[in-house]
Amino acid sequence: MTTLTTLARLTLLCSLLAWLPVAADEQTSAQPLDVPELMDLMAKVTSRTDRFIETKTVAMLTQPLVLQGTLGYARPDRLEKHVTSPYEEHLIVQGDQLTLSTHEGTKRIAVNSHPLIRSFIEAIRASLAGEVAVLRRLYHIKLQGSRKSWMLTLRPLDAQAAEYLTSITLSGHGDRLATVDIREPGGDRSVMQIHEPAS
Amino acid sequence: MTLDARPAVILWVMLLFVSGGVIANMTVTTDLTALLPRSADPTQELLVAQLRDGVAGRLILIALEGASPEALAEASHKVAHSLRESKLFTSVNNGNPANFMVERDVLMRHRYLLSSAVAPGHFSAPALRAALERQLQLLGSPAGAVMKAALPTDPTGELAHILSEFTAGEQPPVLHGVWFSRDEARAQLVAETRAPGFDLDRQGQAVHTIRTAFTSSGLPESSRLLMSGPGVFAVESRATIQRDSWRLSLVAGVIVTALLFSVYRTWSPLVLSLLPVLTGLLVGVATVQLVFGFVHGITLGFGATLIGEAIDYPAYVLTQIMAGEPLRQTVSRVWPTLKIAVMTTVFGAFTMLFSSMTGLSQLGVLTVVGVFVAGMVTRWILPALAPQTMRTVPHQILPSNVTSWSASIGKAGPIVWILVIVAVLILIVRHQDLWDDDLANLSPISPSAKVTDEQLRKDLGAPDVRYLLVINGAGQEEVLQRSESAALLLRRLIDDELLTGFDLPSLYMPSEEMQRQRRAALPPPAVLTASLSHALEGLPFRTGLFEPFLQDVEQARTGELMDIVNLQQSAFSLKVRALLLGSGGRWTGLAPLRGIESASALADRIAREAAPGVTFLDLKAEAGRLVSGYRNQSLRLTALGVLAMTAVLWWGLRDVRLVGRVLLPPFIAVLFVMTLLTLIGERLSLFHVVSLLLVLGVGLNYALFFNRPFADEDEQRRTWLSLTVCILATLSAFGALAFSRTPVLHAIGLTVGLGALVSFVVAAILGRPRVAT
Repeated sequence: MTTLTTLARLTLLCSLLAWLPVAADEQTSAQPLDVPELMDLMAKVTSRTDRFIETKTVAMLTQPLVLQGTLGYARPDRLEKHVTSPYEEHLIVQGDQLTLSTHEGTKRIAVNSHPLIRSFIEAIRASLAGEVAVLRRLYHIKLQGSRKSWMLTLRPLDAQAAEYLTSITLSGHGDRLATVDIREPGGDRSVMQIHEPAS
Repeated sequence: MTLDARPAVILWVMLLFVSGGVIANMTVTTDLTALLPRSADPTQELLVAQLRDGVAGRLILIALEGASPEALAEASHKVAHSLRESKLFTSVNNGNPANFMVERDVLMRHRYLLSSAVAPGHFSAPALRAALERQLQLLGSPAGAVMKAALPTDPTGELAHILSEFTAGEQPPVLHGVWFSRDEARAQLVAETRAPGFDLDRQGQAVHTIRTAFTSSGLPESSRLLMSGPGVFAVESRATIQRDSWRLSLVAGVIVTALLFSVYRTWSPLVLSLLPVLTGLLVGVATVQLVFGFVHGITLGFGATLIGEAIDYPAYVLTQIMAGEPLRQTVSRVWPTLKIAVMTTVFGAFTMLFSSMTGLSQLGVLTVVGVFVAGMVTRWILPALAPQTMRTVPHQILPSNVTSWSASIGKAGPIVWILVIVAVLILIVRHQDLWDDDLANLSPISPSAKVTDEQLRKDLGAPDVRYLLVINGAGQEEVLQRSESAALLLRRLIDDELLTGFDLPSLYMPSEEMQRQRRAALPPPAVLTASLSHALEGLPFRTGLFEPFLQDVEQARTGELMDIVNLQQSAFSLKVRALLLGSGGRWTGLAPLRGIESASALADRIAREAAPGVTFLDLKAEAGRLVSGYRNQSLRLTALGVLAMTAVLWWGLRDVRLVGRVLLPPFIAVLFVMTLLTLIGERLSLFHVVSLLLVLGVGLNYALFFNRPFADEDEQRRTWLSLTVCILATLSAFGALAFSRTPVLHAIGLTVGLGALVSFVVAAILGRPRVAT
C-alpha cells in the first residue's frame, strides 16, 4: 500500500517535471482558453481596421452575395463597416446610434430600440471590446480551442431573436478576429473573412 | 311648541322629506365639461370635446421600477396581460412587438392604398429596378435577416414607408422585449382607458386595476409603480380633497363645537345651530337636481362654502337671549336685521341664475334657495323647536369693558382709508399678475406628480397635446382631403424646423379620392409582370420569388377601397376616432403637432399658407380664454348682484349713509384680501372669486349687526358677543381649510378666513352704534 502510493507520487512528480518547460511556453499559445481570458485579450486592443470579404448565401438568391470592404473598431463602442463592393455602403455604430449611409442618403437608428439589430451588432462589438457581461445577457456562449486558435459560438437566449438567428461563430487567433460566421434558421448563412490590411 | 308654530314645522318636515327623496335619487357628475358653456365658438366647443373624450385624457402612462431589468420586463408582460383581460382599456402597449401583429396585418393588407409612395410610375421597370437593388443591398446588411421575410410580398417596401410616416416621434428603447426608459431603470407601458378622462369613477376603477395588476405581478417589495395621466391626476386629487376635507372638517368641527359650548354651556343650542344650514343645503341641492337634472360635484363643494354664511344665522339669535326670555321673542328682536342679512345674500346670488354657464347658474340656485331656507328655518323653526325658555343665558366671554373699547376703535377710521388707498395703488401696479387663467392650475396636481408626468412623457415620447392643427370640413371626405394637403404644408414646416413631427387622420385613413388615385396607379397584371421581369434582369433573385407581390397588387387594384371599418380591432381605429370627429354636415380633423419651438412663428406660417378650413389651435391658450371668460362673467354678475344687494339694503334701512356704512366694510375687505393674496404671490382663480362672494356676504352681515340699533349697553354687549362667536366660528372653519395642501381648499380657506377677519375689523372700526328709538 505504502509502496504503491509512493510509486504513484513519483510518477506524478516525474510527469509534472517533464511537462513543466512545455507549459511555460504553451501558456501563451496552446493552453485551453476560457472566456474571461479571451475577453481580457480582446479588451487590450484599442483600435484596428481590417479588410473583409463577406459571402452571404441566401435561399432567395440564385448566387451568393459577396461584399468587400473594411471593418473598423475603436474601443469601446465604435464599429464601422464600410462596404466598397459591389456597392458603396457605410455603416457606423457609435454607442446607441447606428448610421447607415448609402448613395440614397443617410439613415439613423437607435440601436437599443431594435433588439434584433442590437443583438447582431453586440455579438461583434462586445466580443471585440471584451465585454463578456453584455454577451452573456444576449447569448449562450461556448468557447473552444486555445489562445492560438479559438472559436467562440454565440446562440441567442431570446426566443424572438432565435427566430432570425441560429448562431454567430467568431473565430480568431490571439487577439485577432479572423472569421464571423452567421447562420440563420432556414439555412441562410453569412461568412465574413477578415484579413489584416494589405498595407 | 306653540299652536301657531305648528304649520311651519309641518311644512319644514315635509320639505325635508321631499328634499331627502330627491337627493336620494340625485345624479352627481364630476365631468368638468358639464360646467362649461354651450358655446357658439366652434374652437371652444372642440376644446370641450377634447377635454371630454380626447385621447389625451384617456392615456395612462405606467412605469415599473426598483428591480432587475429581467424581472421588470416579466412584470411588464404580466401587467399588460391582466390589464387587457380587465376589458377596461381599449389598448395596452408595453412595446412587445407581438402586440403589433394585428396592426401590421392591417397595414400590410391595405398597403397600396395607405402608402403615399404609390403614384403613377411607382411600378415602372426603372422604379422597380431601383427598389429591387435597394432590397438586395438590405439583404446584405445586418437588417437582412429581419426584412427578408417580407421581401417576396413587398419588394417596393411600402410597409416600411408607411411605418416611417407613422412613427415620426422616437420610440422608447426595447429591452427584453418591452419598452424601457433610456437608463434601463424603468419598464414602461401605455394604457388607454375605455372611459373618458373626466369620468372619475371609471378612471378610478382603471387606476385601481393597474395597482392590483402591479401588486400581483410578482415584483419584490422594493419595486415601485409610477402612474401618470389626466385621469390618474383627477382620481388622486379627488381622493386627496376628500381626505383633506374630512380631516379638516373634523378639526374645524371640534374647534367650533368647543367654542359654541363655551358660550352656550348646554347642548340644545348646538344642535339648533346646525338645523338652518343643513336644511338649506338639503333643500338647495334638491332644487338644483330638480331644475338641472343633475348636480355637479363642484356645485356641491362651492355651494357648501357659499351658504357657509348661514352657519352664523342661529348664532346671531342664540347669543342674544336674555334671561327668562322665550326664543320666539329673541328672534323677533333680531329678525329685522337678520332679515336684511338673508335678503342681501339671496338677491346678491340671484344674478348668478342668469349665467350661461351651467356651473355658475347651479351655484346661484343653490345659494338663493339654501340661504333663503336657512333664514326661514332660523326665523320660524328654531323658536318652535327650542325649549320654552333657555335654561341658561349665553356665557359672556368678552370682557365687560368691550363697549367702551368699541368706541375707541372707531378712531382708527383714517388708518383704514390710508390702507384702502395703498391697496388700490398696489392692485393698479400689479394688475397684470392678478388673475390665473391656466386651466391646469384649477386642477390640484402636486408639483411632484407633474415632474413624474414630464419624465414618463419624455421617456415614452408621448405627445403633449397642446398644439393642434384643426381641419374643418363639410364631411369626412372633405376633412380627409384637407388633411392630405395639410400633410404637404406640415412637411415643409418640418424642413424649416418649426416643428419636429405631426399626426394626421389621413395617415391612417386616406380620403376616398386619394385611395382612388393610388389604386389607379397600380398597373394591370400583364404590365406589372413585364416591368418586373425587365427590372429583374441581371439580378440574382430566384424566378417566381415575387409571385405574392404580383397577386397582392392585383388584389388591391381590383379590390374595394378601405374604410374605417377595416381598421377595427387595430390600434389605428382608436387613432382615427380620436383624430376625426363629427357627424352629419360638420366634421373636424385634428393633427397633434410635436416639437414646437415658437408657437407664434408657426401660427403665422399656418395662417398664411394653410388651405381654407385649416387653423392652428393652442389648447392651453384657448383653455385660458375659457377660464377668463368664466371669471369675467362671474365678475359681471357679481357687480349686478351688488346692485341688487344695495337695493335690498335701501329697502331695509332707508338711510343712504347707513347703507354706505354697511356696504363699505365688505368691499374694503375684498379689496384688502385681493391685495394681500397678490402680495403673497397667489394668483386669483375661480376658487378665489367664489370665496370672495362669501366674504361679501359674511362681511355685510357683520356690518349690519355692528350698525344695529341697540336699546341699552347690555344689548350692545350681546351684539359684540354674537359677532365674536360668528367670526371665531368662521375663522376656525375656514382657517383649518387654509392649512390644506390641496390648492382648491387652501385657496377657499385662506380667502374666506382672511376676508372674514378683515371684514370684522373694518366693520368694527367703521360701525356707528345707534341707540334705538
